[in-house]
Amino acid sequence: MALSPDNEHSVPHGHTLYLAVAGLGDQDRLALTTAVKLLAHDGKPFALLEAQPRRAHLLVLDADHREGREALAAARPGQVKLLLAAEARIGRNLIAVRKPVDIGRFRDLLGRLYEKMAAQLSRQDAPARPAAATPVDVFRTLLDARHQRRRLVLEVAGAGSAWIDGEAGSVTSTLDTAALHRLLTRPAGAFTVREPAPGERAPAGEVQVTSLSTLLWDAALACSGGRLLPGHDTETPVRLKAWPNFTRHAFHPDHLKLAAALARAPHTLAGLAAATGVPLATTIDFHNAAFAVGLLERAGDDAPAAAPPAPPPSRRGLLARIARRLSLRR
Amino acid sequence: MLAATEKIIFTGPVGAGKTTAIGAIADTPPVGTDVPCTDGAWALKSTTTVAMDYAYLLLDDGTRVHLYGTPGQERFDFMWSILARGGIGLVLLVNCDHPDPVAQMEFYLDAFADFIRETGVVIGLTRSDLAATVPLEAFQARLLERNQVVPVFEIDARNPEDVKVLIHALLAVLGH
Repeated sequence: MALSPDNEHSVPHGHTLYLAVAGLGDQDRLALTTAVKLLAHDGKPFALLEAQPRRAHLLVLDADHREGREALAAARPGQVKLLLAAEARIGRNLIAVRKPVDIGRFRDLLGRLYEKMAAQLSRQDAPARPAAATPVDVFRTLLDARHQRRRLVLEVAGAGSAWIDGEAGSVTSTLDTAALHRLLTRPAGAFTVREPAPGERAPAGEVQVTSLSTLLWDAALACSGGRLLPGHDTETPVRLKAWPNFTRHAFHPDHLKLAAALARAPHTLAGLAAATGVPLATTIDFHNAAFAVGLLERAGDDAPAAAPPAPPPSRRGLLARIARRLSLRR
Repeated sequence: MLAATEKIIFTGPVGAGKTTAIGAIADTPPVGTDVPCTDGAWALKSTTTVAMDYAYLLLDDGTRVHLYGTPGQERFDFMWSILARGGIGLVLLVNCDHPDPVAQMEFYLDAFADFIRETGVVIGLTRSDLAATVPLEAFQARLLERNQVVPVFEIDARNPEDVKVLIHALLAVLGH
């Protein structure tokens, strides 16, 4: 099966693939769960999502059961569907299998699906965008300044400089706001970073003073390129302590989904990407930015809580139409 | 057949910018019930809303999403639950130049606690650009203490983009 390009559900090897089930009889469900246990031994872990089937990587449905047909109708176009049916069916991202399906057939099908989806995400998982970051990128420099409460001077030859005060959490710059933000994506060598000289002070006169957090946020999004900060991983649950100030920060619309999901319960980054349907690279960029400005923390041993039930389809449609009507310019 | 209707509730204290925020995104100018202030609110503005503000958004399928602004003065709080009934969610606006805006936020979160539990809330901080206002972090810290991780953004109620971001956050909270 060729997965369509808008498929958002692939997972890298070693990661859990979330699947949801609808309309399966007891025998089929037993065969499926047994196959899933066997696949875990094969290094292809699956987890069953009990709620919000639209958020699963993979749907396993019985087309001859009302519940299965309803789930099929409600599925996202890019969602992969394994359809158990008495008759052959054809559809986008849909694999139809004649019933009955035994443990071996489930194991074979799911195993092959895992391979395809993992391979696809391996490509997607590579830095999603060309890394704008320099070997010593601005983001890491700003983050170090904040964590170590250091003062640093960023200088762009012939253009101006920015005085970073990690203690005060401020950036005083002779560059205008646009130039300061362009600095975030400058190639290596376009700027220098140095410690202030003894007695050196922040520039005065016509300067822009901005919050270090604001610049850190923007730098994280500009420089991360889907790569996690050192020391972080996609399998440790994290919790949101507060929402980012989205009216004053640059953001991707998917960041709202990520913040909302994290506000409900701690998630691993892999689980968060799966639960929201947001690409892992975007999820990581958001994580880096939120962590950098102190809005995110590791949740320790807290197990991610169960996701709340999804709004009914009629309400989902209404919310989508309101979002379209109030489309954002950013 | 009558078009389907839904509603979003805007609430907050006097002068928080509810009427302005509704007007920033609505398809119609807000229909208000403003009257000259006769109590302490006159110090904040010359008129105030006594019953509600009303405007609507027209969606592409003909659905009207009603935008209701509650009266800001607490002596009209009997109107709040009436207006909120059947609402999709709550937009709480708090003016940061109030002497204790964090307490104001908590007052409204408590007043609408049941409605918020059933739906969702977003908080817009207005007038945060004025000098000597309480910083955003103070609101975030208090919300965390209350175990409420809800969206709280600085907004200019006159700016449609700011109000739209607030509504988009509400939609995300509601599961969009």
